[in-house]
Amino acid sequence: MGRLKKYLHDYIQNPLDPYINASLGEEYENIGQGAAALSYFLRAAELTYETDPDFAYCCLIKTWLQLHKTGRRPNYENEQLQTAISFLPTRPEAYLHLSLWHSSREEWKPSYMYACLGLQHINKNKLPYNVEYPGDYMLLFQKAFTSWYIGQREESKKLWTELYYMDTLPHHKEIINNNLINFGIEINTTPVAWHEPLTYTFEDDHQFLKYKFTGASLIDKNYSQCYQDLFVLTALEGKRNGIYLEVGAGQPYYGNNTALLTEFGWKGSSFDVNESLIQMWREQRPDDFIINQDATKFDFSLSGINHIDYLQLDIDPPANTFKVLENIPFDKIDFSVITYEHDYYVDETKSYRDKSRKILEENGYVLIAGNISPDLNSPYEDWWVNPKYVSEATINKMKNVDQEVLFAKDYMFKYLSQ
Amino acid sequence: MIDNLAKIVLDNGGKIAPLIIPGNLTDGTGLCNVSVFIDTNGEILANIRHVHYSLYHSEFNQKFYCKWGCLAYLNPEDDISLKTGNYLCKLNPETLEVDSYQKIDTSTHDIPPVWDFHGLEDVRVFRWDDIFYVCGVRRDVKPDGEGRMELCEVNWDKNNCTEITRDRIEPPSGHTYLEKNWMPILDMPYHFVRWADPLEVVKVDPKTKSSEVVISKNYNLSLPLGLRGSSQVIPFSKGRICITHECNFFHHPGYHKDAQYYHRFMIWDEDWNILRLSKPFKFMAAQIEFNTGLAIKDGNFIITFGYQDNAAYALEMPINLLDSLEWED
Repeated sequence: MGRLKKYLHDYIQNPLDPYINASLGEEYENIGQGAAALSYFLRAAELTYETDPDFAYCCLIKTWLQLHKTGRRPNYENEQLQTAISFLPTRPEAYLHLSLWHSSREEWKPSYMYACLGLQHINKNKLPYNVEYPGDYMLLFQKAFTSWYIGQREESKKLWTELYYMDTLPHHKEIINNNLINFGIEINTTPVAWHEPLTYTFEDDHQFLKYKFTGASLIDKNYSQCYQDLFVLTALEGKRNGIYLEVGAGQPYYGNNTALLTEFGWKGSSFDVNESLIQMWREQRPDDFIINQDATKFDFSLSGINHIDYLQLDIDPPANTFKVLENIPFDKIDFSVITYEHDYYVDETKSYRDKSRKILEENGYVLIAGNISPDLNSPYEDWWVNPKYVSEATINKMKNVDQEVLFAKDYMFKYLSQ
Repeated sequence: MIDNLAKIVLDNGGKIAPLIIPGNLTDGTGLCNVSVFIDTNGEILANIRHVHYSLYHSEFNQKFYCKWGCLAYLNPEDDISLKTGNYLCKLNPETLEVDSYQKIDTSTHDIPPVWDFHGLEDVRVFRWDDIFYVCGVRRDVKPDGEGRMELCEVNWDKNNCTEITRDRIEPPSGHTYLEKNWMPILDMPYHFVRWADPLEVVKVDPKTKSSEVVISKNYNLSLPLGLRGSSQVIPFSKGRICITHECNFFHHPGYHKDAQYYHRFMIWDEDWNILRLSKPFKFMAAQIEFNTGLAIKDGNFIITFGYQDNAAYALEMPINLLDSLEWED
């Protein structure tokens, strides 16, 4: 009651302040007084539709939520959500609730339609109040659920598989797992296979390097799994003192893509969530910056840096790597070289490679090596360059994007037998 | 026009409390139109009207109409009757919040409703001849919705809150369709102000369920809207005071109905001459507000009202604040 009285007093002092109206509405909602909450949220929406449309939209959904909690008013619920969508059709929340509204009535086609429409408007900033929107994944969940009933069984299977690899609320995770069983969808739950690094040594391999960059002769050995470190230095012609951003750091040296770069004077930041790896980094690469944080939730725009020479994206599973890619503010930071692990060979959805390519192409990057593989049948990475920083001659020289599997060794070396 | 009485009150030492009945009893639908009464033992009693709808009212520039326009009762779609229940409460003398409550059990006198408005609406609470009454309008006993004031004795103890008697009062002369908002005169048992302008005081006889006009006065007020009853009429100074209401129903383009409610303080001398009539006021700056209760305790008015039919409040206003309000000439 204390907070309710506080906001009531605030309201009385300024009844035309929309944010106070909404705060009062929120307090009434918290104590189960939906009608009173509806009044104040509706006032807030009316007071902000021109000045703060996201807020007005949020308050409109709150008016729906009061009716939803009250019950027995399904058509009013429907119309209130339609009002919210009509006002701001570019946000996902009301689409989700309308999809749920229809699916609760077994009206699969409109439910599917609203899920599809909502998915056109995901990745939006969070609304100021809880409108019972668990996350964008729920729209995919609804699409998976309803596509089954409208006869799109293969699409449904693909979506359930995609959901399996996503972060969802525990309750939904359980439903997803059950549906995989119920719908007979087989998931490869084995972890992504680890391939021993294809190591380079000066003694054995230098003479076969296709592209000998400045300083290559000084390298005794590399560390990457598939020569990513050599690729970066090749594309940037042996650049020294560059900057890297390494997402999915792994071990500090073994199979690591930035260890060699530091020997060329590079600095940067590395992300990993594995505590034991973090400890290894602190012991073995104490001068390098390792961040123990979930990169899918990190706000990269806060770094203040607008250019980075090398971006590595490599966290399992492919859905998470893609989530980080979506989270990169390409309008604020650009990169010279990117290695992106899509794990196509184990991606049950077979979707993340194409989706990642679409994003990177849209942001001006050029695919220079597609479907890199540590062997002859495990295409798992794409390598990209930015034509602003990598010359056309280098791109033309190194481009190889037409193969379903591009064995890394073949890409980087030309042996006598070839 | 006083556009925010509550602000004036709070800025001058008054207080306000939201009046709440738990949502699990009401489904969170509207609580409104509260009547307040100071009982003989000093307890603050109140009746909160519970309606089974949420009022949808789009105000200001009215961007967000619902299906029925800017103003609509959102009833349960499987039962569109407009149901009213009443909760009698004891208010905390310090905070004015609800300390305890009981729903009035009307089952002894209820019959299956034959019109869409169910229950006793806009109840006023008071005590006459040591009998505790609630009195409001009921419209569910005639198929055409005819409304009459019903005077009901209520027995309220620790375990029960029960309607004991129910007397449906006919108007004093001729047939009318709807009688409502009669204001009980607390120091004149069985008398109501039926109309405030022109004044018509009626005396009711619960035994015969009839009424007769006992006082009439024409004030020749030239007000844009007719004065209607709101609170009880209570003794004040050497005369009486009440709160009246005015209602402006209007239509927006497209024939969407809307409404504005205003209230006024009205003070009479002992002979029912108007001493003062305040400018119209809003309680909390909303278009739809409705008062049904006024009491005096410890030098303060306690005024109870509903907000948009969705929320209920009790306002404690120092009596001397009356003088700083705006009054008609």
